[in-house]
Amino acid sequence: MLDIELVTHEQLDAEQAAARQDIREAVVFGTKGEDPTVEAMMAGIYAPSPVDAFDIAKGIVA
Amino acid sequence: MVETPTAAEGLAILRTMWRIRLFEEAVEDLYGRGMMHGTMHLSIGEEAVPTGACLALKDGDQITSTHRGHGHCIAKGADLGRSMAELLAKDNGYCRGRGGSMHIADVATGNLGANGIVGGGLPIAAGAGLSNKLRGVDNVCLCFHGDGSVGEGAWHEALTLASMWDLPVVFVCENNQYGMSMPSKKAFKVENISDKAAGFGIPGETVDGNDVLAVREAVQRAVDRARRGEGPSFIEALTYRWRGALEVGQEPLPHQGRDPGLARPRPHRAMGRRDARHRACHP
Repeated sequence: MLDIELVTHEQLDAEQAAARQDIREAVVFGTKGEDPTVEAMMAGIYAPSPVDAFDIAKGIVA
Repeated sequence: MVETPTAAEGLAILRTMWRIRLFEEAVEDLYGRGMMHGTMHLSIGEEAVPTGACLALKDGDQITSTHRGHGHCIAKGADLGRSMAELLAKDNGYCRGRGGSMHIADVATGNLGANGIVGGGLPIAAGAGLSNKLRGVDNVCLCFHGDGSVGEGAWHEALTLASMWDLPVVFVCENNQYGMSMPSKKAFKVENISDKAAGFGIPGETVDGNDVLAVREAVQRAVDRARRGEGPSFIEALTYRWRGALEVGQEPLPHQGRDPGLARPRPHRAMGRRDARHRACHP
């Protein structure tokens, strides 16, 4: 694009700077985020079972 | 003849590529400092493939990604903050921190997910293509995969079904020359991986994966074909990753490590602290 003079170095500098700013904001957003709670981490690990074999094995249900 | 973009299009393309490159450099930094966990696969040097390919897509189209999928995610329109948060295992990440780098997904933008299993996205893409066809919508699923997955059974199964059922799927093989440490030239007898597509009755094409416009043009043809109901296509994009398979890989080969268009001739315009090393490796 530079070779065919479609864009200038200044325009590229501006795009690069804008992208760099986007990444800075992304790093801030990510690092400031909360860690998931233990409950949230444990949710959805196992699909609901029509037969809860664990409870049966433990004698919780017949 | 590759169509020249307008200045605005060109700048938008470069901005996407910059965002991918800088995102991954930031990830590399955070990972190196122990702030990110798990395994990290970077696609630095391969930015032109997802950027060019996703330019051919419209809203509603889907992608499936790989374990090296940050670029795919960003090119498909993911929010950078939520992506970074996901890699940092934070609750405000796309998958509330449980997917991480290799299982990040954003169904809202059509990103059906990265996949820690090599070749794992291929059957998912075939399934998405079947869904699109059965629902009668003109959406296309773009299936990113690496050269390392071409030997997997799932690769053959997905191409077989996509071909037999004329599914709207475009298979984009990012041939970065190595499956882990195995050179692709030692893994396949054919000159081009795209030659294999003929065995499935699928048109195949090999393009310069470091030429973002060439990638866009090839994928656009394939996407248009899929939308017309003419079935899948296969595109092999020749590229090269500048980092190791797991951040501990082989040295780049000078003739293969050409910059995808982000390096500029003025040394003081370097993109980041690693550019000097890249230029030394890729004169």
